[in-house]
Parts: sequence; structure tokens; C-alpha cells
Amino acid sequence: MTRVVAVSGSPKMEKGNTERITTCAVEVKGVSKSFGNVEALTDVSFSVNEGEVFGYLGPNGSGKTTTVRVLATLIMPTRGSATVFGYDVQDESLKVRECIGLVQQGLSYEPYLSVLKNITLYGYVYGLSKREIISTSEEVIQLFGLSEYVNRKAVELSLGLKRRLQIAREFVRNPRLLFLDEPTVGLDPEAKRLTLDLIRKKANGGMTVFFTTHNMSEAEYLCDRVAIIERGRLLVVDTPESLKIRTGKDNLEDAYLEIIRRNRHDGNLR
Amino acid sequence: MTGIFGRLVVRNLQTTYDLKPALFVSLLIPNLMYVFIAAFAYEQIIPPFIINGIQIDYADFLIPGVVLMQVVTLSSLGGAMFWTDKHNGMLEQLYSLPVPRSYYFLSKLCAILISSLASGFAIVLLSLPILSGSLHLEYYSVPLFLLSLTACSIIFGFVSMIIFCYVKTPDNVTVYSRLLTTPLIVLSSVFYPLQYAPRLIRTFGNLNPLTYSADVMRASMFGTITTFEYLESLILLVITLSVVVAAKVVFDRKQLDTL
Repeated sequence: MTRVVAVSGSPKMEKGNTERITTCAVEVKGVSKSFGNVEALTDVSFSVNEGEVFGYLGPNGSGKTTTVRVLATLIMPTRGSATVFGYDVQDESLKVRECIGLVQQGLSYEPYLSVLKNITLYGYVYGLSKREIISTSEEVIQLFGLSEYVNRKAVELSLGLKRRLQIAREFVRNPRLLFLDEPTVGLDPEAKRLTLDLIRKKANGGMTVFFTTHNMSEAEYLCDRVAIIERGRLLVVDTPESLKIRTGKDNLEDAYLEIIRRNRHDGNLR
Repeated sequence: MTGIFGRLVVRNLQTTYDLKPALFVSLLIPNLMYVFIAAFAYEQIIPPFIINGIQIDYADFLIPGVVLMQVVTLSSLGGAMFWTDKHNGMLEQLYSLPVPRSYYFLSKLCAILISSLASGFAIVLLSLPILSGSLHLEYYSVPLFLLSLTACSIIFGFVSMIIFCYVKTPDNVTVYSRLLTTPLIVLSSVFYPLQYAPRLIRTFGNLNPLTYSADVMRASMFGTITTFEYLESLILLVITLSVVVAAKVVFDRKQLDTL
């Protein structure tokens, strides 16, 4: 059991929700992942509490997506272990998959189906009732501003609209843990803010969110805690506020750059 | 888990055909042209010939071959369906569903079977006015008829999916589809009786599962089943099982990071 205290100054804090007792949603112990001779993750360990929005930050190619893929049971770790709600990602992958939702970094959609069918079909595959599919799909279509495109084929949409569709589809159901791998790439500012607020709303409703990004303002706006990873090694896990204090910086972006700079400096010294 | 498997099958059918009958019909038309145009044209220059002791017109001979061509065409879509999922990020999305990975491929196969068998039967039905004189489908020949259709669909469905596990770029999709289907159709007894073909073609034809499917289907449709066709059915069954095992090995080995 872990005690989590939400920080103020962002949508993270809601009245009466400043303090929660939470359990562990994700636990990663010494995970490494190699692709041939390339080690994408090296001895990564961290945990994510249930109901928190956990930001996973790092530059391009740092190992963020690899971590998500390991935790979503899409690939197996080379060494170490990881659990999601107590289920081992290697030995109990089906149980893990029952608990998770995934918005991948790359686009994913049914190209020749309409926006509406893309959303309803996914709800159907997940076994939602007809009534649930109708009500939730209408809701997410409105929320993500897709109403005027419902009959348009997904392949005909712009990049930003495809991204909205991809995220909207995942919000048709309510997984216990949602992996969002750089979900706001390609979104306009309005859709980006809408998405972040929706994620926060879901988290306040009890959903755990694992959010990868290299956009620090998004992480600062949304995340309860963040982890910074570089070149496959985890550098730090803390709240955005603590990281700013520890580095003496005013915002998370500067704190992040300082941590990365120190790591590279130390690495060079070694 | 059975429920989600069924829903995956529906999803595969919907994403491929969008459940529109027009698309299904449009896939029938090219092969029906063989039945209603090519067969009659060839019949003018190809006299009736003897197979298993009965005299048969070329049009009658060609129809079972066309049925199998239709099955091959639609089954080979399995690879393209798989590639489309891979290309559009849906493979990864569906891999995160709470079902074993094999369900994904089996659901594809199931969708292929449904569509290819439906279109195979549609060709038989539409060809009835031509076939009615020579069609002798008996209760004991129906299982062989179904085996021929099903085996052909499983073999070509899985082989195309195996090939498309290795396809990386979209321009190769059409090339691989054509490379898979055209030589196998031409080097089989789909268009001509293999016993009258030159020796080299006969040798290749005898290594081709489509030859066995076509022979078994013809014998079951025209009521000329002999021990030889039962032996061919057995060979067909063995080939089908071998392809299923090969597919399992490839699908298990090819992890998502290497697809």
C-alpha cells in the first residue's frame, strides 16, 4: 500500500481528492530488453500506483515505447520481471490484457470503415452490450469533435483526426490501466487539452494512466508522478514539483533538461 | 473466450467486406466469366474427353476448377487481411486483447473459410444450368466435396499469411499475391486434365495441393470416386495438417517485434 498525495496547481487536484490510499498497479523490477545487440532497456525498476497518472518521459529512442510494449505484453522482457495489478506480464499475459487499454504511438485504425464503425466495432470486439456501445460511442464521438466525420472512412481523415479517432476508440470502454504512448502527437492544441482533461477525468474516476511523452508541459499539466528515462536507463522517479525543487528550476521542462544534462555529464565522467 | 473469438471473426469479415454484398458479388464475377464465357469458347476447340471412365465436356470439366480458383482467390486474401492489420497498427491493437495470439490467426482463417466456402457454393449454384446433366453429388461424395473446398481454403489461407509475415512494403503485397496464386493455379488440374499434360508439368502438378483438391472435387461432383480419389483425399489431408503445423511454428516464432 502506498500513500499518494496529489499536488496543486493543475487539474490533478480535485476537491476531496487530495489524498488517496492506493495499491500498486504496475511494478517493474530490473527489466532489460534487447533487440539483437541493441539494449533498449537496462535494469529498469519503478512502480505505478493505482489511480495515478504516471508520466514516462524521455527523448526519442530512450525506451519509452519498449517499456509500454513490455507492460502491455506485446513483447517479452529479456531479463527482469514486471507485474500489472499483480499479474506477471510473461506468465499471466491474458490476465494482464484483461486489465489494460492501449493507445499506441503509431496510428491504428480500420482504414476502410467509417469513423462510427471504427468505434462501435471495437466496442463490439470487447464485448460491450449494444446499449453500451451506442451510448458510449455517441459520447466519445461528441467529446472528440468527430460528429461531422462519423460517416467518413478513417483512411480519408487528416492525421489529427485519425489520432482523435484512435484515442476516442479506447475511451469507449473503461480499462483499469490505460497506456497512452505519446497520444497527443498530431493533435491541435484544443484536441490536446481536451484529451489531457479527459485522461485526468478518467484517472479521478479510478483509472490508472501510464502516459509517455517528450512534451514536458503536458506532463506537468497532467501527471501525478513522472519517471525520466534516457538510453534505456531510468534516471529518476518523482513528482513534477519535487523534480523542480531538486533541480532548482521553475518548470518541468528545465528540470528535465537539467537531469538529462547531469546524467550525460556523469556518464562522460565515468 | 469463445465469445471474443466469434467477435474477432465478425470483425475480420466486416473489415474486409464491410458486410456489403456488392463487394462479395464483385469478387465472384471474374471467375464466373471463366464458366460462362471461356468454357464455352474453349469447348469449340476441345472435344469431350474421358476421365475416370466417363465422357465429359470441357465446360463441365472447368467448373470445379473455377470453384477452387474462387476459393484460392478469397483464401489468399487472408495474407492481405493480415498485412492490412499490420500496416494500419491493428495487429498490435488486437494483440493486446485478452486472447491467445493463435486466436488472431484462427479467427482470420475462420473468416476466410466462411467467405471462400460461401463463394465456392455460389459458383456451384450459378453453374447449375450448365452442370445439371453431369452433376451427381451423392451423400457419400459430399464429405469429399467439402474436404476439397476446406483443405484448399486452409492451405492457401495459411500459406498467404505465412508469406505476409515477411512482407515489409505495400508494393510487395500484390506481387506476392500473384506469385502465390498464378503458378499454383496454372500448374494444377484446374484448367486441364493433368494426365494429358507434358511430363514436366505433370511432375509439378503432382506436387501441387490444388491438383488433389481439383481431382477430389471433380470426382465428388461427377460421381466418379474411386480408390485413387480416396488416396488423393488422404494426401490432401496430410498436406493441410502440415501447413497448419508450419503456420503454428511461424506464428509462434514471429514475435511482434520481428513482424
